[in-house]
Amino acid sequence: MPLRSTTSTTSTTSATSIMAATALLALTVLGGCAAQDDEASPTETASAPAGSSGPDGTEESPTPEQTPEEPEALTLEITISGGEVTPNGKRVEVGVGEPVRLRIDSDVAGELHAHATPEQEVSFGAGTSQRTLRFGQPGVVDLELHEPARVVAQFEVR
Amino acid sequence: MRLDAHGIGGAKDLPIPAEYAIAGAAAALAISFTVLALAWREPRFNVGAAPRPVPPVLARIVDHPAFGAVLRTLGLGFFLYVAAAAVFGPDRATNPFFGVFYVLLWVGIVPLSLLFGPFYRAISPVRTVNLLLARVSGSDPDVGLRDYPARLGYWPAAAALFGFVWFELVYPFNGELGPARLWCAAYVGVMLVGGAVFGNRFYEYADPFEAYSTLVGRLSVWGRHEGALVVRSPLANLDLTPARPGLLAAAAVLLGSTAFDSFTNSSFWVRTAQDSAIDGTVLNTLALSGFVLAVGALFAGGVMATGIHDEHRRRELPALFAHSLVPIIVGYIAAHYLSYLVELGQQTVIQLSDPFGTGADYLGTGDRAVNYWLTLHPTFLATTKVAAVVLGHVVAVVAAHDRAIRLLPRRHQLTGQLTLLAVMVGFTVGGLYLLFGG
Repeated sequence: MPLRSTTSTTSTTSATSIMAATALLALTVLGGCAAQDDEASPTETASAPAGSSGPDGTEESPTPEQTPEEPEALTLEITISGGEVTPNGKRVEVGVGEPVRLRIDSDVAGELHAHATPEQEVSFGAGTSQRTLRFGQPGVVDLELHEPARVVAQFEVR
Repeated sequence: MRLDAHGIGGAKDLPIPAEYAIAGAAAALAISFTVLALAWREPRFNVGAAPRPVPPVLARIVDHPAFGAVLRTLGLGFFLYVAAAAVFGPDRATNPFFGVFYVLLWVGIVPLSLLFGPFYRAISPVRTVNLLLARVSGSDPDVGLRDYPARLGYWPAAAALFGFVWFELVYPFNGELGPARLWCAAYVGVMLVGGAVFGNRFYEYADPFEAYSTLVGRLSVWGRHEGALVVRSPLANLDLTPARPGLLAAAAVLLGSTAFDSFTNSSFWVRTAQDSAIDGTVLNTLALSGFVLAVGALFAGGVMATGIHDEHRRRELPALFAHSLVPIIVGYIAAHYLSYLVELGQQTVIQLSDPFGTGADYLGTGDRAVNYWLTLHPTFLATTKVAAVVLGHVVAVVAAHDRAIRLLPRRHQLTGQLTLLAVMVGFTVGGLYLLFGG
């Protein structure tokens, strides 16, 4: 019995140290990755018009301004015609605080919700319209049409 | 989760970078085979010395009848406060009932149980009501009209957990007050009837929140030994999880549903579901069931593909190993829900000050703002997520290893673990992939 327990202790110790070493290795690898990535720049965040970040994200969302004159803005074309909506859940990368222009061509009036923090709403009439959105925080923001309920795009805000 | 469609929440976490997912997967794989090749060959948990008793002061406090009474009062008081918000509050996302139900209760169960052990049992409002009813009628709350059938085990809890995750992740109107209130009313009703019929044991096996909390509480340091409050290593505590029918089913619902939630946020699923001619609710119900069944079947298959002693029955093995899924669940849920819990949790505490939408500030938290530090540091968040998943995986592999050498015949102890190990690596890599692809 003592012999057996000694063996088991030895192997335990070595296993533990190897596990610890592997875990350390893993953490080092992760740490290395972490060092290469950029943290969300606080200045960018601060300059973004995130609206009031009060407890209720649905209120106080910044009114989307009509700004057709920003040439470098990312543009998303949205078409709603006879209940058909394009694009369908398109992934779009956008920087924190950068403008995203929505060019909406619709045969009906409707409402788009950007599930950002805080929530933002865009209503549009029939015909062609343009709206600009900005997101103040990193994350994935679904842009969802209401009636019919459809995720038009997902913004990866970085 | 489509809760954000109704204003609770908002942006979701960014996908973790590919290199993080790969590093995590590599670490999980390396650690797994290291454990298998080099770890102990004799069972180590709960053999030999008795566990360490807690300091006498702590034991006196915890075992004092007043301690339980205070916790029950707090639990019932909070329940009534939130129930009032659910009944008289506005049908808007600002109603704190939603945040309490989906965030503080459902997600908060995990950290609270890790810290305090089976805490829901101590504060459970349905247990308290059952106790009060028993007091009034002069009966014993532990004893019902019938004995709880042992062969049912955790199956009722697994079914109720599935009922919850379906409601939370699939049901399209989960952000409306009426249906959510109805779900809770049904929960309370079933629990009170079940408690009357089967006594308190019913809650242990059928209350989804209590079963979840008790299961996660196995990874806390708190335990009982011959009735006395003791401190154990979480691994030793986990090892004492009683193997009951339905334990794997409950665990599969927890892990499968969380994976499903990641999956439904992925660009692939959003596009596929919207393109499909099948109704979204039907499609998501099928996908959720598929995830849960896949987790359960893969795990059971992985466990059963081993050589066994003649006196064992192969079909009993999944329940005997199911406890080793708990750390994987906890790690993955920590990764999946961390920012959700921290940020929507704060928002809920703020909303709790104004339960009826009247502009009241009962708790003095109404003018606080949510701190979005986690969201603003996506690199830290991603690192924490991967670390949680890998840590959960390591603990799971160690727990399964110890169980294997306790149960399996010596010549099958290593080879018998291989399939289970492969399944666990699969869960972890799959989980990381979903965090990456989400």
